[in-house]
Amino acid sequence: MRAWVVLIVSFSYLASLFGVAYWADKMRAKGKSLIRNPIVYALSLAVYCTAWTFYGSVGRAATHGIEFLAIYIGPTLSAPLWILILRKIIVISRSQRINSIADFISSRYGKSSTLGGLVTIIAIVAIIPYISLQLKAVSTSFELLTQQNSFVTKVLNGESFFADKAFYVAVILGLFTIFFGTRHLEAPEHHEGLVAAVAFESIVKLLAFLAVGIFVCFFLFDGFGDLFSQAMEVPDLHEMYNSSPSSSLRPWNWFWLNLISMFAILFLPRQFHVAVVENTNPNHVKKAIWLFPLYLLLINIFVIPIALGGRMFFPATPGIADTYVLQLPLENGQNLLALLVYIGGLSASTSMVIVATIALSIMASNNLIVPILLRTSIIKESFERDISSRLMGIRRLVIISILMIAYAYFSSLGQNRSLVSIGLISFVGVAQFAPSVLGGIFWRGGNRKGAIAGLLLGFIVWGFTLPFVSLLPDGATADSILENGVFGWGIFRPYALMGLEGMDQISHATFWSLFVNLGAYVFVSLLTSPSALEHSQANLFVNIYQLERTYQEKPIWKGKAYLFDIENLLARFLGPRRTETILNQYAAEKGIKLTKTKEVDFELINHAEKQLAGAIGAASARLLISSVVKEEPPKLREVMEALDETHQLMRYSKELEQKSDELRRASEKLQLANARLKEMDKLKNDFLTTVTHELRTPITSIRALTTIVHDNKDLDEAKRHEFLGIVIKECERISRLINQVLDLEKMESGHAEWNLTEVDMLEIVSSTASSIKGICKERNIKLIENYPDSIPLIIGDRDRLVQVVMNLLSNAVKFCDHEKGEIKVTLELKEEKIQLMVQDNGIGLKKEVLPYIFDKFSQFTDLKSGRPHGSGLGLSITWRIVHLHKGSISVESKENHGASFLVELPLEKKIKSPSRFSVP
Amino acid sequence: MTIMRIGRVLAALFFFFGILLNFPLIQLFTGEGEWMGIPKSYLGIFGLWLFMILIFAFVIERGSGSNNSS
Repeated sequence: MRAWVVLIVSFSYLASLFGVAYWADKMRAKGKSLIRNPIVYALSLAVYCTAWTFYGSVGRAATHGIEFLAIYIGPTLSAPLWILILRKIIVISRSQRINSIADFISSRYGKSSTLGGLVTIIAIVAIIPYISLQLKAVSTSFELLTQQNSFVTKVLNGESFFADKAFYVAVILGLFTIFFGTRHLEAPEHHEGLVAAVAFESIVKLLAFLAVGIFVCFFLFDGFGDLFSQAMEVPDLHEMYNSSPSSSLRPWNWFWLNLISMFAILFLPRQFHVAVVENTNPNHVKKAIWLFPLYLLLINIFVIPIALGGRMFFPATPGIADTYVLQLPLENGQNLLALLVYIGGLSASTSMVIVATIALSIMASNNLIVPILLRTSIIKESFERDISSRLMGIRRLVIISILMIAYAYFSSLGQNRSLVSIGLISFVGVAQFAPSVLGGIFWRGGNRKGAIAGLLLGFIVWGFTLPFVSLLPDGATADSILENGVFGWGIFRPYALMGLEGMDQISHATFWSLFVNLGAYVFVSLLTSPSALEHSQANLFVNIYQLERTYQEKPIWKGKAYLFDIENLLARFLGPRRTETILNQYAAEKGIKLTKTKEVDFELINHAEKQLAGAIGAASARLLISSVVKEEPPKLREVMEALDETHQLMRYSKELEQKSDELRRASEKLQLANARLKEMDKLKNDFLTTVTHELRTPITSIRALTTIVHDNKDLDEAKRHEFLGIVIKECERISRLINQVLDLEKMESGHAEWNLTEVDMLEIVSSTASSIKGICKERNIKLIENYPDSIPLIIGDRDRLVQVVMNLLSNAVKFCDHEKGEIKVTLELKEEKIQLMVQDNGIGLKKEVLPYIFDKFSQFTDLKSGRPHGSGLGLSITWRIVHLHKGSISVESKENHGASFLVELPLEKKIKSPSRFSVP
Repeated sequence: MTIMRIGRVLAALFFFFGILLNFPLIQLFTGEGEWMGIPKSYLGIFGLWLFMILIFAFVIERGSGSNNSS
């Protein structure tokens, strides 16, 4: 392919990135932000996939088997912890206006500029090779596509230095980064354009990779099955992918790779930047927990097939495995596809370079350069009113410098290493931040000295066990150091520190550096005491959620300053216009008026400090603010008191929460009780109404009949006799009703008298049954009795049990079929229970009334006569008696198919107190 | 479910899958063998990976669906 075609395509692609960024900024100005949604957030996290993923994974898969997957499975495994870790870091960073990982660590440990500087240096040293790896990828892919010789050959042949593509790549990316990253000084004003462009690039690289994957799988081969079966015939590949135990999956390597990639996904400066600094809503983390791993899965699906395809296509040269993605389409004449792949690789590289460089430039200028300038008083004493533009200049300079150093590294050292190993060295480097950050957000005891000791030692061990070796000139010295250790001391061998052998370099370095780092962090923190500021910051970080709830984010300092000074300070670093907005907003929010010559309170000072921290970092902001504020140096005692107060408040608020919870529960209970009371009151009323109604009916009829008898002296004897008979019956009905009501009342209130003896149910049932034989005969009802020969005695009240049997039998008689009546009485012993069943073949019961049948006054209207039978208390009383004997009663019935009542009484149930039964 | 409760469920999942996807258990999903010509290692690891993502998605989407306000 011609170079100019590739160049034009590359520039068009970069221009389209500008387009996306421009569009995003424009939409934001209209109030329709593109990046405020979890999908874009997850896509922006995919800046994790760089040229290393794009080209290097295939290379690794082709030569080392499946192990590379740990780099992507690690982040997936740790993703569920993001709600606890990442979300907390985001909430803290928002409240503290933190704009880089260096700033985060520095702010946590008492706004220490030493720590900020240390973290920055570690990050730069660890990341620059990684950036240079991207430059290498872009220039290599460009050369491959245009089929030119490697630039090394050219430089060796005496060609001009500027013929080197990587140099141009560095310059162009530098300009690009400057455009994206340094338009506003203050980071919390999100770089929406940048995030949108990164998300866009994530889509491009995924599509490009899927395209080449599909091409290899389905065009060069006949699908997955075909590709794999052919590959498994190559002994080398079979050994890597289809052997047991898996030769390409070494237990410890796998574990350590998983671990460092879990850390890398959070603590690589570019990841911290997109995940934390550019985050617009902490809750976006939730969706990213599964969306981002899904992205990783998709982009890796074809890595192994492409690697295997490449190995089969270029059997002689496994060394070029890093470029299979490009070589395969090129070799098969698919130039357009190759161009697409190149663009995919370009997008993977550019997004990494841009975000990483911006993140590093913010760290370097805020945590290295500004503190140095402040200490050497260059800024302090300068009379320039607005130095915000100068800060911007510094940041731009830093960007260019980083890229130039990366280029220099590339052209001097980075050649002979494969993409993956350089990336892994960086991963182990940034894993050093893990103890300080994780300890910092969960452990209040971690302090500045501990963090410095841990980071410093971890960094030294990392440097010695990994990059140190690659810095050694090849030859005898390097060999001797590797074999015998530095100065011949065997314990100082870079790949076998303290003589610990048997691990690969990455696992070895990870183990030692993290072990030393964590150990130093914990022990030094435990053995030394923190300063006042560290205490208050530790509290702010660890208890951020509780503090947010109690609104206790008050600064502990008591200091005084003039508004004039504060305003001047802000204006110098943020520009006068921005300062005015900030102060006006503050005044409006608090509803106060700011007067220039007046002293301001510490809340405004704190607000100003945070604004300043957003631009130049926490440590520098602290330094500047303290230069204009007359502060009483905070005493540890005061801080402790304030913290105590905070804690008390926190505890108090927790208690309040608990109390209100209890109150809520109590009031729920009360409501329930009240509802029950109301229900019972209603029942009582119903009961009274029913009772009076039941009394009134017979009384009315008695009164009518006696009046007739009284007034008509000449009433004939037969009529008189009939009427008096009715009167007697009605009187009986009244007295029965009253007796039943009293009975029920006694039982319910527990005042019923019980005469407990051993009773024989057989005798009770049979004698009661024979007492109704007469009426049965009269009504032509067939009475079928089924009794066993004998039945065990139970403890009970004989009269009451007779009442039960009588009630059931008389009900059966009442409701029996009028022509062919049949009543079946069965008594038997079943499962330690005496069962009494009374069945009739009458009209039966409607389904709707079944649940209420044992309720008071649930009467059953005889469908034929339309008049209710009985008082409606009989079954209710029966139910009570049975239950007071610890038994149960149930009914089964179908309309027009009779009803059957089943009473079950347990054997050997001691009934405790004869006078007070408890109803279950 | 509140976000903190989802967080705890997810933390438990982290330990579960962390153990499943490391030695010695990972050997159950790798090693010799194939299915329709595709090696067990490839299918095993990617299958497990996808399964894990689906579980996360289920926990998160179900948890946030029932209580959007928290």
